[in-house]
Amino acid sequence: MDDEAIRQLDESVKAEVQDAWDFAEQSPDPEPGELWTDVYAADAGRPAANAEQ
Amino acid sequence: MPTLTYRDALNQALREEMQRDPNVFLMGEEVGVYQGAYKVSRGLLEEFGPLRVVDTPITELGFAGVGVGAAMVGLRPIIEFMTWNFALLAMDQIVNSAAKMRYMSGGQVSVPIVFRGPCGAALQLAAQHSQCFESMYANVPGLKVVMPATPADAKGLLKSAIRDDDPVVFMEGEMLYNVRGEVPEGEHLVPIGVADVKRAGTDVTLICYGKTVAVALKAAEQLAAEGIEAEVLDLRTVRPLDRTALGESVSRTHRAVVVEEGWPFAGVGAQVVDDIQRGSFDELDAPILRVTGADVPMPYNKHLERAAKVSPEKVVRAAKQVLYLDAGR
Repeated sequence: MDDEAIRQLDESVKAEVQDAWDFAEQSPDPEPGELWTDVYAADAGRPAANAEQ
Repeated sequence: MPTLTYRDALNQALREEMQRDPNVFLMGEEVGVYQGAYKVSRGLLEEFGPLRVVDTPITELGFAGVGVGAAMVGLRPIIEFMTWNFALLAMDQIVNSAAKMRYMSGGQVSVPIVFRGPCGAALQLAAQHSQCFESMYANVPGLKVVMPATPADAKGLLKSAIRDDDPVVFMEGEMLYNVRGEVPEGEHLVPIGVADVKRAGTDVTLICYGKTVAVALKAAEQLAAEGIEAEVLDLRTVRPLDRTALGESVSRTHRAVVVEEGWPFAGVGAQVVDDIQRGSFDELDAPILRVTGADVPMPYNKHLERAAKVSPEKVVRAAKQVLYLDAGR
């Protein structure tokens, strides 16, 4: 890998991280109910069946 | 129905699941050429080859992490720990990676992985190699913790664990591998999170799992000789707990003793007692007692080790206490 390829890789990683950063900054806060979702696979989109509440 | 050892029942589950799904693979120390420290993986390297039965260096944290990564990209790894005592080194991957990826990614990343191996004490393996870790792992949201007591449950639960989309901590026992029992052939699945009444009774419920099921069954025999009918409720899964089964059994017997191999403080029994008092308080005719391993590092000395472990006699004594019979303490 030459210097130019390394520079391009560096830029692409920076852009990916920036995208994620922007997505996070621009997204609304999660709904309170999302506290309990996605602990287990069976929870997808609904409160955690297997988590203590 | 054929009679198999617990070891061979696990081997059958691994073989059947590896035949069924090419994404399933086994990785760990000595699982391939040596066919497993306890021969659970006998014949698998020969049948499935070194890409799917992978011998690792002595690097628990490393191969647990490789497994988590493989699960994140769609494979279904089974990580064998020679014992759960050695998995302390891998706990970072189990607790910080496997258990949390789904939640931290907002449901985008699944980690369908099984971590398995023997847990608890055998005979004179001393303090560092005789430990029970189920309450530690069961404390972690995102993990499931399974501890089968019989060959049939070992097969059925391991197959369910391999197919599960969440990380499963699967705990066996050196002293269980030679236990024999009838095992259904072929597609035998035991659902995770469902307890099983191993002996029906009316006077007291003995709640147990893993190795303590045999202890509770022996205690129930001794109690029966004195006219006391104990129900033996095998949790089979420590997390999620089968609250329905706990409630139903206590509604029948109104008294309970929880038997666990591990230490008492913040143990599985503490969680079970909390659940029963919240769900079935009005059904109880006596406080629930717990029989646990002694709250000390396991002694090496044979006599002290025996004194530290749970025994049918200790369970009988506790059962009589909750029945308000003279336990002769």
